[in-house]
Amino acid sequence: MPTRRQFIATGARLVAAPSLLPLVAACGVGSRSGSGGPDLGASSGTMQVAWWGGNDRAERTQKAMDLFSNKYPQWKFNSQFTNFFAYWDKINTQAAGGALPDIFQMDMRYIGQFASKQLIADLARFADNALNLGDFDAGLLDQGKISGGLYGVPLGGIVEASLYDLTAIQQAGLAPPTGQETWADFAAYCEKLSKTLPKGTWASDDESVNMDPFEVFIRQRNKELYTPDGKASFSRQDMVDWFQYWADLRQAGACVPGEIAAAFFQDDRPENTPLVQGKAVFKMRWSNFLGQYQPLTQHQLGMVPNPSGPAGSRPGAYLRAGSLFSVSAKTAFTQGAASFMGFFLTDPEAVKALGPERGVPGSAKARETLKPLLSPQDRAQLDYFDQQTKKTTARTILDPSGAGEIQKALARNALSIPLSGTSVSEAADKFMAEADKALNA
Amino acid sequence: MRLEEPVATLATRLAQRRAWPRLTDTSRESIAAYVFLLPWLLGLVGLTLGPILASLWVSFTRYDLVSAPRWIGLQNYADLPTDGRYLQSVRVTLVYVLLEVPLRLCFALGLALLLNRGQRGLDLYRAVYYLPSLLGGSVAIAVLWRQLFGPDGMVNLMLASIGWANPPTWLHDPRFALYTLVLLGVWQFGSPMIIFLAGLRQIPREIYESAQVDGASRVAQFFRITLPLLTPLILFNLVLQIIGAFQAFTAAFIVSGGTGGPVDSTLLYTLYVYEQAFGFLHMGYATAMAWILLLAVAVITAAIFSSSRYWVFYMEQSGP
Repeated sequence: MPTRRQFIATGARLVAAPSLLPLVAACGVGSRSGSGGPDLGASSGTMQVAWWGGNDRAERTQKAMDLFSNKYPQWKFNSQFTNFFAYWDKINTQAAGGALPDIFQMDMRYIGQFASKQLIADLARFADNALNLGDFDAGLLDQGKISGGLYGVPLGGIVEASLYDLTAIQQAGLAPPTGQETWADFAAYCEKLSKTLPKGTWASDDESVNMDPFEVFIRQRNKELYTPDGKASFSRQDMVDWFQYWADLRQAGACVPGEIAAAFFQDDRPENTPLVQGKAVFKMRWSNFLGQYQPLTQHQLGMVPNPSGPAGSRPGAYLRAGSLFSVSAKTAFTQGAASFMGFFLTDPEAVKALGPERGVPGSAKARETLKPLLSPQDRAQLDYFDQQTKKTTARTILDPSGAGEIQKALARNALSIPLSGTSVSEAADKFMAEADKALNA
Repeated sequence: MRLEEPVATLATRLAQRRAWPRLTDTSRESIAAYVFLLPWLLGLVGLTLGPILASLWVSFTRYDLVSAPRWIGLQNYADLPTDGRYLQSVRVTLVYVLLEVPLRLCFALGLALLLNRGQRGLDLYRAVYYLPSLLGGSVAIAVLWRQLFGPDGMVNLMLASIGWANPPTWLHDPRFALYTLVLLGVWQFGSPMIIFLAGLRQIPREIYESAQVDGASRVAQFFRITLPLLTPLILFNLVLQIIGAFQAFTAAFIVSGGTGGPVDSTLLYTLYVYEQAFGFLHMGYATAMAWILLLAVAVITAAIFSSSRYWVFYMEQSGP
């Protein structure tokens, strides 16, 4: 006896059959003009949805799912969420068992691997109907495209930034940074700042452990992190320069000691961030973190671009999808999943529920919907994003499969400089060897 | 349940059937026994032995869980000695085992001696001292430990209040991080303590009485009577605790956020296995490591057993 799920699976396969595509597309367009919502076909069921993130994200996402279920009662959801590292352990295990959630949050670090292993579905055929991507930012959407296919739909755009504690800077009697600083200017500013800060507060967090500002740094040198064939594109000299920059800041007392950096790396919940705890004035993180950090501190926070490279070098920042939704290649609900994602990205009520918590929405209409409702920090995020995306250069190379390992190796070797007394050149050698190994495995 | 019912019916039928006259009662009984054991045997073979053997095979392959495993012979095993982090994990684990096991056993024995003096409310004390062992392996306690020893945790606040201006950040300084984990391990001395206490109860009082008559001091009584008569239990506890300590995982995983940090100072063997397997999807490499651990623990256990005839003393052997 065929179960409902099998029946739906068969239906979905029929729907997906290429010969029927024009028909489906036509239905989509037809019913959209009628009911104002994307076409759902005749299928129904319970979709598994998974993401990483905190409670705030969970509440917002749940609300968007409820809105969809209320509007289309034939669809129900089962959801699961956890923190980033545990999430990927779990998703990897589920992928191995052929039991990926129907819809799951994807990270730019892993999308290439999941697509090349054919674990996630190509959604390109839904772009103009169910996904409703007509007014979607092209640069952002490109992040989910791999060799012509659409393997993830970006849930929000983010840009790397230097977040800072404006209150602490004003108390120290300095002018806030302008965002025009070079790396050398930034170091000088931090050294000056650290002289007037109270004991137990340092000018900057230790970002030597952090792959994202390192990527900005390396892109200012006209490189990407990886070559198109998945090898390391940073050199030993790049690593020496990077480690040395932070070692000098540390030496000058202008960035937090290794123990504080290690504590945050081992437990990186927002409330543990040295910036929020009043231990550091600067923190380099993605633009959507302003909204996460501001509610956690009494101090006023601000945001400027990361320091720039020497005169004439290209901007290092790039537009990134903070996260994407991908659909399991084995789901029985490809069409339903695409419809939900379209709703998630463009329905005014869903957009209001979600806010810019995952980054700035790609849909122009969604952005307009949000604008009058934004909190000051969310407005600052949107303004910053709009200004900075004009100055970015597109990032075209996807992370290879050793990238997660390399992030951990960077942190470990960077921390060995302050904590184990390893020399900068020794740490650079070890990191290069570990990176090569991770990429060749 | 569903499996067992038809099996039980089948077993009854087999037992009642008279068409097999050549079977003796004993062999009929043993067939019935195996039929009744079948559900458990299926579990053993299907869920334990099978996967163990499969993991042996996986350890000779390169396997990322998603693509098919690729046979690479002994390459995983050959790579181990050249992997600096692997050697570090071996060092960390040996330090952990060599410190944690003796300390835990000493604590367990010391408290068992204290609790064996027959004071009132003994059961309550026993329960109180056993409590950490019930809680200790749990995630909640590891989280508590992280708070206690954190930069602004209780421990440092107390040290600051008694005048230590800048106490180390215990969990984030590679010089101390492992020792805080050893401390957490030692704190879970409950189960060896209960076993020692039972052993102490079994030592006949007459032996102590005659020793007292002969004028032996308390210290001499401990070293000449208590300790030798406890050696079988020391052996038992030693073996169990060593096996357990080699597999320590939860506390290090939680306290270091899964990284084995700071700078690999708490990278216990099992943590590295986990990271390679589920963090980096190097299943073949991780299973090779797991097999080395299995063999190492087996060799160490065998060595302890074979050394036991030189130091373990069974009362029956010296009986009258």
